[in-house]
Amino acid sequence: MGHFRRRLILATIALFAAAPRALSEVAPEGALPAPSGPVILEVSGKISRSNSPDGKALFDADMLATFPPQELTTATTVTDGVNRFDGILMRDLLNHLGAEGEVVRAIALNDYVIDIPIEDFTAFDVILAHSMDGERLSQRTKGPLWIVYPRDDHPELDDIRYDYRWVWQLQHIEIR
Amino acid sequence: MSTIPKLTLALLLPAAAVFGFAVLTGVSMIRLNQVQSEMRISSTQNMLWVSSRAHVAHLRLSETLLALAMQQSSPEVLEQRLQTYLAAMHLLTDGPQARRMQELGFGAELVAIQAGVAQLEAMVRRALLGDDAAIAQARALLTQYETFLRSSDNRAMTAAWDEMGGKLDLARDQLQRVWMLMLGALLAGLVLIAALVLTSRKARTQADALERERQATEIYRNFAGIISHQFLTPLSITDSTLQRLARQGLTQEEGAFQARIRTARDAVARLVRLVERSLDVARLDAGQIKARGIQTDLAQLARDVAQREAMPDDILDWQLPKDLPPAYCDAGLTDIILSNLYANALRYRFEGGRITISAAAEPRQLRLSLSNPGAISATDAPRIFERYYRAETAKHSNGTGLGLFIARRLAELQGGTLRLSQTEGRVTFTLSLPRAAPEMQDD
Repeated sequence: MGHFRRRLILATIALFAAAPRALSEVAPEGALPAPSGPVILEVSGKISRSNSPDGKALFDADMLATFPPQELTTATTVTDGVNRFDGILMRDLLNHLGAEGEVVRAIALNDYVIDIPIEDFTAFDVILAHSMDGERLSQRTKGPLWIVYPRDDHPELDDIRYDYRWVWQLQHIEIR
Repeated sequence: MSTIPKLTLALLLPAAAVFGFAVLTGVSMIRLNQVQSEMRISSTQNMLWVSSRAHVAHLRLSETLLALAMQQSSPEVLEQRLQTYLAAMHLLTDGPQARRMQELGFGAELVAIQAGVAQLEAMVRRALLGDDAAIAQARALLTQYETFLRSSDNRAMTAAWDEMGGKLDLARDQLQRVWMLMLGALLAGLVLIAALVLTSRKARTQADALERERQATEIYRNFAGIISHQFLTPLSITDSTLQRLARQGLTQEEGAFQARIRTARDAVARLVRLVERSLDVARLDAGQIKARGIQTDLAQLARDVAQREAMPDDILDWQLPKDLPPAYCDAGLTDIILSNLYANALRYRFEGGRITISAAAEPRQLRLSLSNPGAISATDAPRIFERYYRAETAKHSNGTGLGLFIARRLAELQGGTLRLSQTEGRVTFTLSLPRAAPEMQDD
């Protein structure tokens, strides 16, 4: 109950806080710059900015590095102890692309597919991590991108129903 | 039973109940808290999922190797499959998941896989360079792990189910205990409530006793006031009259002499009446006056008393029905009530006001009303039947403040009531007495 209310409040705050920012960032309707290096993330679906003929937004590592960096320290279910993650806020990425949907479908290299409610990214500072404990994530160590929740900051995230949203080897995001 | 054990019991029982209630509730909360903390699916219970992902990655790598040998797949796909496989194995053989696998009894297999993974990667790399022999080697190595992955799927699943079942058992057990504890707490609560009810009842009895005592004190205090005023006034009148008589001796004329004597005798009579009334009240209080009910013609009694008390005929309006059924009352006591009411009406009616005497029969009782023009103030009305109470307007007259009190007590003694009502400048006292039963009327 408290959990739900808190999420609702956070979502409401985020809605008002995010609205002007989304507008200002979506306003330049210009296309995204094209990736110069290997593409590590594709975003498709209900987005207003893209850089490919089929309406997808393609990102290489350098493009992702232009977002404000976000750091997160938390324990996970697949590692021992507490780890420090570096990456960018999922919220920033979605705002930048003018994403307007209800569900974020995350698809991993290992064909893992999960639907995540888009409110998760406003309610929590969920990051798209590219490094763990200062080391860049490789495909073998759940890279190149890993959706990481601030589990240690919110007790309600210590739940198996959130655990499965931690998508590693993330390759593709579809806004639905 | 002495008072000390009684008191101890009265204190100990609620204290024990409160203690019991607190302890039982506290323990229940602790148990519930335990259940709450157990109500979480631990991360290592995702082993079935981790194991099956590894299994899938394993099968797809194996399948892609075969396809590559038959030129039906590309090196890019194989590279992708290899990475996925390595990631899945990494997950399985590292951190919490590796410990869980050891718990499930796969320690040896994990060591073998960790050693073999590098070997496998090298074989696949060679295969990517077109070494067909490496494909066969890699597939042979993968087949070795096949059995492990299949049984690890099974064991992870059964372990997860066992663990979940165990947790449910534990939770059920705890909840059952909490249920018992709550029952205990409920009992303790009931004991506490019972103790409180008993105590409050006792307190009420004591409060009642205290109130009676307070009333008694009040009566005596008023009595002292009455004595000083009502009793002393006739005595001082008598005394001063006698003094004057003594001073003037037999020199005065006959008429004045007689008047003085009458004044003195009136005062004495008043004193006698006051003493009699006080004695009546004392007997009432002591419960010495008993009502002996007989069939009584209330209308006749009302007329008789009026006549005896020498009520002036010209101020009485009789409105008594001819067929008024008999009452069941003590004629002597009712006589006293009526004489009090007549005296009261005569004394307090407005100048020249007429007194109406009416009666009516009701199913179970008879009502006799005396009504006269007059008024009783709102402050006086509720207290007019109190012992020694004198209305503001009555302070100047020589009443005792006992007449209406006695009248009401006597009415109640006979199972009746005496009530005051006021309408449009008229004051009405209504005496209700039980009706005689029909079979008695036949006597």
